[in-house]
Amino acid sequence: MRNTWVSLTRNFLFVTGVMSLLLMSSPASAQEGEAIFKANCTACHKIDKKLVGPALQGARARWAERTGSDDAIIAWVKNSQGYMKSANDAYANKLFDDYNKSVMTPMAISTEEVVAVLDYVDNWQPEVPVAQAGGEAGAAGAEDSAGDPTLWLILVAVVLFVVFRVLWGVNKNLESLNRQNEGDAPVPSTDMFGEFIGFFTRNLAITAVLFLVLGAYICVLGWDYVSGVGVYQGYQPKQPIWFSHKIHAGQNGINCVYCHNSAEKGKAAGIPSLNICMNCHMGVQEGKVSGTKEIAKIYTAIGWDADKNRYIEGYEQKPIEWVRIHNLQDFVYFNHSQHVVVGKQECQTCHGPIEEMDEVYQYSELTMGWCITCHRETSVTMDGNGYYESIHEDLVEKYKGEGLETFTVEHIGGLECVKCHY
Amino acid sequence: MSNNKVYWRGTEELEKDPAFVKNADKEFSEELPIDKFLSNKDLDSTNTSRRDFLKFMGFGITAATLAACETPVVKSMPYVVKPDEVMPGIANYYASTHFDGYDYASILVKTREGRPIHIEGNKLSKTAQGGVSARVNSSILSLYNKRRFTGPMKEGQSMDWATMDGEIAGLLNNVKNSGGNVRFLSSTMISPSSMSLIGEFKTWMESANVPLDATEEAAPSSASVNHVMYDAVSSAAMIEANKNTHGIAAIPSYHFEKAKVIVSFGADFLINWINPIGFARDYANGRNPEGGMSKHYQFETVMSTTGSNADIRGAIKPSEQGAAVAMLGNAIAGMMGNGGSITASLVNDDNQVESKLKDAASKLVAAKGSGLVISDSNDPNVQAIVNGINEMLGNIGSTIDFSNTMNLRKGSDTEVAALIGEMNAGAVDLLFVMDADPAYTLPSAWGFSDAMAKVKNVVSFAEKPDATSQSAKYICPVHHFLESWNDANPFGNEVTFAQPTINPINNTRQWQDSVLTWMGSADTYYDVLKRRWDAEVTATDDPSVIFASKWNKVIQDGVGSMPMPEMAIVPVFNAEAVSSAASALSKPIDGWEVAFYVKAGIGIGSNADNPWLQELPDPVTKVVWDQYVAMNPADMMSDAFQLNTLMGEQQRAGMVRVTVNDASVELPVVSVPGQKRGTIGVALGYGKGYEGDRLIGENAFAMLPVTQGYIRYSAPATVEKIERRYNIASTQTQHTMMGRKILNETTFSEFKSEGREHWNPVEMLNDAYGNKVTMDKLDLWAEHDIDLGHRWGLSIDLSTCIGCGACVTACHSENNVPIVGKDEVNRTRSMSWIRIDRYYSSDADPEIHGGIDQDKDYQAMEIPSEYPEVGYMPVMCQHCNHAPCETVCPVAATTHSDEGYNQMTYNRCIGTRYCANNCPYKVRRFNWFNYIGDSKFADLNPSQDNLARMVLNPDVVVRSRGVMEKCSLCVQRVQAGKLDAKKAGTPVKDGSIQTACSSACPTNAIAFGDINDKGSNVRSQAMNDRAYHLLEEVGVKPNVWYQTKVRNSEHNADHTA
Repeated sequence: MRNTWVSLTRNFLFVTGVMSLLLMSSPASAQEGEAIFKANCTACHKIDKKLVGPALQGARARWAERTGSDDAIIAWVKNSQGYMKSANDAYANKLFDDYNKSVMTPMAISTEEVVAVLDYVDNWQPEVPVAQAGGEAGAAGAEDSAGDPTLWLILVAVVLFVVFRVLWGVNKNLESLNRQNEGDAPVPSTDMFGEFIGFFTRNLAITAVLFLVLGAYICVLGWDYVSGVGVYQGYQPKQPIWFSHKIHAGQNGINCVYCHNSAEKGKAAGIPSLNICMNCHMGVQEGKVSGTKEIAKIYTAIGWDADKNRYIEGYEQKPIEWVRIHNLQDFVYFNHSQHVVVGKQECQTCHGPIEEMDEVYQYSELTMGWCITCHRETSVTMDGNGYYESIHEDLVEKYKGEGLETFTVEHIGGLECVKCHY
Repeated sequence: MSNNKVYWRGTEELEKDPAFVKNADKEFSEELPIDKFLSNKDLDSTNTSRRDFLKFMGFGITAATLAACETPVVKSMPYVVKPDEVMPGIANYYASTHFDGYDYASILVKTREGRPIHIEGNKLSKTAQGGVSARVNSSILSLYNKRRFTGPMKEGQSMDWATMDGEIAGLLNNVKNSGGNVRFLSSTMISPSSMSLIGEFKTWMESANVPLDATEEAAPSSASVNHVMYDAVSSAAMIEANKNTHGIAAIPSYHFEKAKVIVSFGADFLINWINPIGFARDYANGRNPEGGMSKHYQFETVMSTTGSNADIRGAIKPSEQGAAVAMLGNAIAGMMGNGGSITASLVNDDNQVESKLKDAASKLVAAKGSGLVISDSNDPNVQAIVNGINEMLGNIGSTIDFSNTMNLRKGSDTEVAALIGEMNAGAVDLLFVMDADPAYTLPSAWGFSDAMAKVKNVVSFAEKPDATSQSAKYICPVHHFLESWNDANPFGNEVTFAQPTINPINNTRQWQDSVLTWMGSADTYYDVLKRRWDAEVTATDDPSVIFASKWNKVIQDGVGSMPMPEMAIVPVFNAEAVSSAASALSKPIDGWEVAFYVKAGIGIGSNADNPWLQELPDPVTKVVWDQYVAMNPADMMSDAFQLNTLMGEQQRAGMVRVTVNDASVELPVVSVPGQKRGTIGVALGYGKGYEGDRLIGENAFAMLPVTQGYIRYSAPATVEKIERRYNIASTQTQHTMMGRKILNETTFSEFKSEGREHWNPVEMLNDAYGNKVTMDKLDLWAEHDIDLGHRWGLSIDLSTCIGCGACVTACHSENNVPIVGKDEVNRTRSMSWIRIDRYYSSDADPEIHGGIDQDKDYQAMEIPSEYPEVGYMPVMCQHCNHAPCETVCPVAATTHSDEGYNQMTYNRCIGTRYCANNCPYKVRRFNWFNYIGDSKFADLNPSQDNLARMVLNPDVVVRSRGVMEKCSLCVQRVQAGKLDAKKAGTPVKDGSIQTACSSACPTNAIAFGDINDKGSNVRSQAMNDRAYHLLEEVGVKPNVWYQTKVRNSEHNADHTA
């Protein structure tokens, strides 16, 4: 209920905002036509293909060739039902019937704006799909170049070692020459390794210190390694569909729970089923970079005929096998709705800046220590929740000495074993 | 100082055995084939040296170790198109109906992501009233039985439905055209739509064919269709007697809640007789010590679950039942001045039955009009006298209601015998068998199997292979009831519905759909049901919800009511029938008799392959996984047998051969105090289920005698000891309480007249100063902060616990408790989180024999009486506030929660088992094996089967080997309930959270709730005078309370001993 209200309000503000902008800038130009088209028309129309409604390019000509002016199409756009009643135009009736008698939403836009849209769509040219291949290669390249610096360090170390070896050899040869010149016996030919060992056997104190330091370092490394077993922070597997949260959640600002709606209801946030994807991608069939190809994967899975804009009957649907990123162990019970609805946590608290991720990776450690720390630090919103009323009173009474008024998850037993393990 | 002792390696060395001396200096006395190995020519040519081997091994181990640290790739597959009602992680509940021809219950099925995982009772039902039994809630596992048929079969060969339909439609057309007999044989059918479907089929078959040639006259078909119903445990005599004495050929409904005095002759109405789940709840409602309490007399042979709950129990021989009923009738008639006496006497009254009958008679007369006399006899004469007694007492119309008949038993012994006659005569062309296994459940005296061989075509609508389908030509496998649509009219005008909770797992079809197809109908059974009930049903009123149709409403509720004929059914009593029955009453017989009875878990054997039921301990004997002969320990110790009465891993049971007429079985003997001396009990329903490859027990149905056309459930028998021994596994080998206050019990008269200190004294201990103080004053540790927030607890009313075991199977289902099999149970490794302890009373006086320190024949107290009183006590983790297990855990894997739980953290447990050692209640269970992976349990544990694994509750972890586990108070349910409350922003409503055991309990004996909630039911129970803690004196402060058992008897048997 609340969400509906919020989204309604948001839509209202958005529409009025766009409207006021448009009103200020009229008469509209072709550039503005694009903005108006994107704000109002794209849900049902494409420029060069039919979607819910017909392709818009050439529509003006189709109407004008019968009536000789743009008046009819403008009236139709503003209120198609009204036009049909008043004009009794056979073409309009046929159009209505051809498109499954779905009524075109009356548009509260000015005549100039309709003209601007028509100008825009008539002058529109399809983009040449060059960017696609380049974009993908770019993405792959970026990934490689972002490789970690260890490689460089090793390279530098090897170079330094070679330099050192050469210098050492030169030094040895020079010394031998020097001795030869002075008539001494040449330096006995020892290898570098032997001298290296010799140095340490002569200087036991240095050796001992070095051993201790090295030993400690190995211990620390070992500990780090062992405590990292089973921790997959940063895990970023390749997914069967190159789905970008950055585009959906970031640029388009789609609310997380629009797709992950069970996060507010059950323990699993849920990977959206394909019918949710189709809510938008019935209309949005193309992307700029790799989108067209990736969106087509949805169609293959669910059986959508993009040309005819309908589902293929009797199609054997294939589920998408996503690779799970956040794997809690079987012996941990975690409930999303507890945290999202009751605890009012943002998704980003645990999942990180998901709206900036093209490919999702595991942002948090997901270790027990990580859970516990948060439970120790996060205070519980008890106000306005009838469940906590008496518990809050009791807690205030219990912690009277410390004068606490707000309480963390720990205070209400959030560290107890069976809260997560059963 | 040197020691000159010489040690020998054995007597061989001492005796200088030549063979030994020869090899004395060798490490291995036998020749090792080293030379042979080294002389192998191929050895040189191998290119794997020892060093290579070590290298490979080293590499292998390292590689495996590194590979183990790889990120596991887990795939997640969302729905392609998600059904609206499914939300991953959230359970859906569907109302349905369980009726397999024996057990009826209206149920709620819990499903997760489309998989049914748990069955609970539907509280809207008037018949079963929200309870379930062990057999009902275990039926969910049978859904995933891998033995089920996967598709239609003809003569052992798989077939597709189209071919099958063609063949059978052809057979039907033959009969339709050229005449013949088609018969349906089923157990009692309570589905009105199925009955009318068979009616339509009959009309269709018997009506004229439309002739191919229009000029020909349509000849009426000479085909005949008939539907015969029978019950595996027959109540036909009851229906016959009701017809004779009251003119109504049906079973009336009984009101145990209204009855002040209940006298039952053998009827095990709490777990078996007619409608046990509903009766158990009614019975419990009528037995409230704080309010009124009915008085229950039971006269029976075997110690049944109902008999063990009786206030007064009299042991009689099965053949004495008629005489006992007659004697009760005589006594009542005498007291009411009706005269009229039937000559009857008992053969051997070693349990004061005669005086108990007189006592019962006087109580019945005193409570005229609110008594209830019932019998399980399948002798119409006995049933007629029972009816006469009820009529005389004016119980008809008050506790016995003929206007709302019970439809759960409608079978007729006469009709099934007639059908077998027809079959033998070769007159049956086509026999359809559904919801029944007649080749298994009918007595061999009737020779059903032979008769079946003479039927041209037998079509079996079986779900899984059984004795009938084995020799049937066609098998048209049916859905499990959880995959089917159906309706049911259990009693009166109540109609309940069954709806599918999962898509059919196998290529099966419910028989109604098959019949519709063969009739050429385009309808499915679902269409038939929906059309009918949309028009007819009256939905329960709920103005808050607007439904699209009545159909949707009744399917959601699972319950509705159907229109009944206006005309009221008035029973008209016929005294003549009673007196003629009295004169025809058969006399008791001398000598050994065997009584056949039905067990709480196995029932009539239809789910004998369900491991939950096989591992459910019998309420009385606590034996699992076996059939046995129940015999009184006094008989076992008699000279004739000299059998071992003890039980346990080291105590192998003796065996006897039981012969009835020509048939004989050899079974182990288990001591059952309370079994009438000179009789034995043998359970029905065995010889059908398996433990791995072992067929468990023998089919006792085959041994049932038929007298005067009625199947009888007892017979004269010869019992001989045989020199074989057998391992019996039992979960309880200790039978008495040894004079301690474990199951606290008092009599109703004491309860009313005396104070709490008399029958439930508070435990007092000496403190350091020698003052007597109550246990709560003595603390070794600081208190947990249990007053803050919730404090979950249980209260268990021992007065209403009937020991049925529904809680045990419910717990298995809810908490993924493993099944371990007979061998492991025998090693005391049963995994049940809740067990029901059964205690027998003993004749030994604790005053004389009591106290370990007193050398006064202490062991006498271990021996139960010959005819003891019995008490049941469910024991699960007591969630002690001062838990002894918590203090001994070296890794803090078991700790205390401020909500009252004793928490068990499996992933922390290292399996020292210190906690189990320190637990005074012995409720902790150790995973000795990896039950979900170990091959020893491959055939036992459902979780090892890919299909049966679907029954696991995804919210509860499956524990691994080496981990301790125990009752968690269904913490997953509590957490879910709390979350619902938090989301709704309201406090947790009392009763909204139930544990699996409390929700399954048919008598509401287990109450769960928040002790800190001032208005909660569990708090009021925990605070009342009957409440006490088990082993209060050890001071562990449990969060589980027990309510003192009150038995409605005047004298107090030495129940504490």
